[in-house]
Amino acid sequence: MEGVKAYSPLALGIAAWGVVTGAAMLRSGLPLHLVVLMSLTVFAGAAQLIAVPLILAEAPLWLIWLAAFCVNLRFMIYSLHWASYFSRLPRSRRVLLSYFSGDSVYVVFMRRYPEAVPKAGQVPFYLGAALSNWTVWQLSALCGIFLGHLIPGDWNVGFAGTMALLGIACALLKNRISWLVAIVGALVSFSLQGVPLNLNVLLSIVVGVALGVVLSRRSV
Amino acid sequence: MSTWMGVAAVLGLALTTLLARCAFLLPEKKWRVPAWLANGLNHAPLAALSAVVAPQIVPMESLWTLALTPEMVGAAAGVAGYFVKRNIFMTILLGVVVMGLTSYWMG
Repeated sequence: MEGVKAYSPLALGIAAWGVVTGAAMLRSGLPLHLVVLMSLTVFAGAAQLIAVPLILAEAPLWLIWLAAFCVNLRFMIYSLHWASYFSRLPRSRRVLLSYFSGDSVYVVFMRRYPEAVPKAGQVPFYLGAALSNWTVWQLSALCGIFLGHLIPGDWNVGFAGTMALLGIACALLKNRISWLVAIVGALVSFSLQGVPLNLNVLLSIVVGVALGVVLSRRSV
Repeated sequence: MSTWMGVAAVLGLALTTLLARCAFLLPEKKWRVPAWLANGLNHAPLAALSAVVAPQIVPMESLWTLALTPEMVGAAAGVAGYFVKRNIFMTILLGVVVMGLTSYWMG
């Protein structure tokens, strides 16, 4: 329940982003059954939006998967971090938990448990946040898929999603290092806008982690 | 693309995404992240968020014209809203309302 509560301020923003993703996938011209199947199984907005034009262009399967994998590289960084909390669980449990891993779940969890050590209550907290996120995302994506044509084309619905992410970022600004990481991350990503496969985001994460390593070593 | 190729593409996507998500959770070996790396990883979410958000608020085109867009005004209001109320919901509410009003006012 604590996880549900910690997640709830984000629900509105995630829902808006889900509706937009659903609507965008259907408008792309992909057949309805593929859009629904993708939304339910892949469960990763950015990867889905990258893959749709490639599928439509009949790109080779390996290219579609490689593109999605690059966008998903940040999930690998998250999984390295998850490992220090969940490595004691049985493997099937670990895989099940990681299916629900996503940006908002990661951020909410790391805010609650900043220390990378296993503690009682972490799995229920994770499941609370993760299942709320999954439900909100899936329902809103289905709304976008089936009702997306009702939204006027000039409404920037996705902006609510952007604002949700911005709000989480503000909540993570705790000290001088974090301000620096945020500003540098924004600048790196901004100046590399338009590079393929969202690699600007991955590079920003790498630079941010490196900054964190260097600066927190100096301040210790 | 035939139906079955489409289904294969989608299921493959689901699998690669799951593999990325559980990459370091899959092996039985107990990964202990060293303390120095954990310090850095603590900043990964913030770096990712600012990287995703920045281009959505300030697109490259507006840099050359130095134009103030409704998105920038809304984002500024959203950040202010967070630091006044310490509440993420305020960021969403103020950001969206101010962005909407500004774009209406700018025509």
